[in-house]
Amino acid sequence: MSVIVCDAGPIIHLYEARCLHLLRQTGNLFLPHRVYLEVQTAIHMNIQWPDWLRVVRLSSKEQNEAGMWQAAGGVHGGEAEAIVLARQKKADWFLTDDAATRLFVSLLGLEVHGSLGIILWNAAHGYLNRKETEAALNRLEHSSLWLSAKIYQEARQALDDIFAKDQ
Amino acid sequence: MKTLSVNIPDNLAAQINDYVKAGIFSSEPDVILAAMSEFVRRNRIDLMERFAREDIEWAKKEALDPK
Repeated sequence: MSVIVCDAGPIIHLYEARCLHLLRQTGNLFLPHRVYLEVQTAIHMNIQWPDWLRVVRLSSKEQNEAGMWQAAGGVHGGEAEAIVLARQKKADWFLTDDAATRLFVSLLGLEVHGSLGIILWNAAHGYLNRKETEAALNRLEHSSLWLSAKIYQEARQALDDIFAKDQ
Repeated sequence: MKTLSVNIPDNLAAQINDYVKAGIFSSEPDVILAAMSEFVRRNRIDLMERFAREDIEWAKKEALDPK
């Protein structure tokens, strides 16, 4: 299974879109404790914290390293800790919805995806049918993640390709 | 300076008010100004659209060749 490290954005946005469970299909998920705290501050979860979203406490040395990334990359604290964790775990994917973080992390050579990608990946792998995917996109559009109407239109058009084999 | 008038949902307005009450900001417009500056800084529209399109293309490829 893929090793995936996540920052706060996708957890918050997918939770708001009632799609948090879709993360589980993608692989083994890890997040640093600081990201966990950021999520808890941003949203009040009406569910118990999922045990498959594993929270990792960084050592003081790793926290220092995160501080360096924070200073060098202009990323926030939780994102910097997630970068350290992703490198330590040799993560296959790094999940973020923050454009500046995504640019920075992709420059470090990590494969990066966001909430929209996670929903469409689940569609591509048959975990969602077309109707469920359209409903998930509608809910994501009403979450606190801002993506343009044009992007949502392109995502909906992409469902023709993703579900082409079903037609 | 341009003045904008916007309607804000009650729960968001309450959170904005909390920042002022806590003394972090001196007024509600200051909170909104800071939030808007942060939005513009963090949400580089061109980058966000590029990355979203990358994810759309990624999913289309995955559908053709699921690993």
